[in-house]
Amino acid sequence: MWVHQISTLHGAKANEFNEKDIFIGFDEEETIQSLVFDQFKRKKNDIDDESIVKKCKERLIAIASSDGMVRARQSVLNIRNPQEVIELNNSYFNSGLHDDIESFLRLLLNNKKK
Amino acid sequence: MIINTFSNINTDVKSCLDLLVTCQVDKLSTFKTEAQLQDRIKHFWLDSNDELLVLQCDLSTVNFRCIKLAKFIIEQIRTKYLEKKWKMKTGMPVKNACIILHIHREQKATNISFDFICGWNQVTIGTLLPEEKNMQIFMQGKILNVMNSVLPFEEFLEQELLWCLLCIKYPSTLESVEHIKYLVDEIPQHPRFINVLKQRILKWLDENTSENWQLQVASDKKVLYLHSSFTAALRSYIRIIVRKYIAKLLCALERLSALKTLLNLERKNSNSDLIEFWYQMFNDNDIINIENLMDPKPDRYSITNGPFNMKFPFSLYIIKQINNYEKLYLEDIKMLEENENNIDKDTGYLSNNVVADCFERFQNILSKIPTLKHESLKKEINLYHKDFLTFISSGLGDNKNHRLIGPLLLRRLGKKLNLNPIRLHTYWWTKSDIIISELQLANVCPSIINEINEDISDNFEDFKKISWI
Repeated sequence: MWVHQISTLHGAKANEFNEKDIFIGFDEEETIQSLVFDQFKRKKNDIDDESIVKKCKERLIAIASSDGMVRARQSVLNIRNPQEVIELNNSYFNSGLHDDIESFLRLLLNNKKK
Repeated sequence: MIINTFSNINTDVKSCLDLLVTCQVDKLSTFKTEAQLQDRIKHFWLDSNDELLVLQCDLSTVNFRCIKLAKFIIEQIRTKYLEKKWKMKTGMPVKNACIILHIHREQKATNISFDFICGWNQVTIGTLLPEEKNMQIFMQGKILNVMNSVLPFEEFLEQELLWCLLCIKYPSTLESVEHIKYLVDEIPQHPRFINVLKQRILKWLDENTSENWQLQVASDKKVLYLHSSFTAALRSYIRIIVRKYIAKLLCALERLSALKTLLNLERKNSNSDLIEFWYQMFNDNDIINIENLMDPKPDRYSITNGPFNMKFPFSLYIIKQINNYEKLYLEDIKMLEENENNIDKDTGYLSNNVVADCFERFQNILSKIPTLKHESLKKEINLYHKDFLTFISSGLGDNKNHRLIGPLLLRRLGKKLNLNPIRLHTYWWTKSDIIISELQLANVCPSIINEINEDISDNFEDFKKISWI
């Protein structure tokens, strides 16, 4: 539901973009199912729904395209929860994780060292 | 780690990671056999000191099953490496592997991705190489702010000037080619003009583009498909919108033959009043009105006459302003001719007094046109006069006619009236046929030219009388 809301524009271009345009490599039969399964597997002792949903969203946003994140500003999700879209946009564009491979690996390697 | 990207497979990943980590970069498509691939992966894990293995896969050329196989081989040999590391306890570097999936936006194929239980982290990085202009800046509000911080207008102008000029359909002559060449060479040397152009375009962008312009680009599939990255698409969007307004402004200026006038004045640094007057006119939105111009494309804007080499700023605009009253003036004359009392019985034409009254009325009306009241026009009326001659002689053939028409008008009007722009126009509206006939005569009998010159130098007053007819 959330995935559909963030990837669907409201208004005239409602049918032009779908989940595959924002989440690169999205497969309706596999992606969400495998994500939830894997997240449950990773967090064996911490199975409250809210934190699992949050983590799943984070991992989905990691594979989002930058144009898809901009489109989210006019998505159905933006009508229902504009604050969430603003926060997702801010974290996506300010994290530096999606800028280029060097910045991404630098952040990743620094985090590993910590 | 699995990285999805829209970057090209030929992106030089190694060079951009050189300072960060030692890496072995391979392209999956270069391997002919599984054994070759296996050897290479073994080399990374077991022989080399590199810390990162990068395997680039173009999804349009490589079968996805091959990528899955490569991933399997990497995992298999990595396990061996970790076992070895575990046994040795120390002295072995931390190694990582990364598969880069080069994706083509337009590709609609399914099953070309890994699910989340594949055991590898996944991320999308639109462009692998660091963008010259940071994406965050493009995300921050208005186009105006982006341009002010990372996309200098001067750069756009330099790159797009020729394209903008080629949107103007000049007459197919050698002069036009020379003219375009002159503008391309000369415009970049006029910082004040560039700055004024820039301010006008930035003001327009500020007033007419939404803060959410990025959304427009992100929602246009055609634009996204055409560019290698979203940032490139955003940059291109700005470039297109800016060059659109450069082209429109240049077209408006060229249609008024005003551009070369300024460039010549500034180059000679001759008359600062005229230069100021030019900029004053340029900043008037009623004079340089681009609202109704179509969007530019090569040869889109035709120039019906000109471009002329005008000496006085925006003289063509002033000529057109006065000429707007031509029909009205001629109708007035016609009405006066219908009344017998207005006709001079000796000549059969309107009497001088009647014509003088009619002209006076128009003079009063036309002198209210703001541009005609400007001091610069009064001071440099001789330049306007030259431009008027250039304009009227443009339809009369070669340069020789241009040289002859001046003395012919001077002979008819006298020096004082000749330099009165309204008189010059009204005379041409009613008596151009006489001047053209005299011109043809002068072409047939060149000796007449000397007589004309003598007439002019002898006495103007006689011709004043004639000029009222």
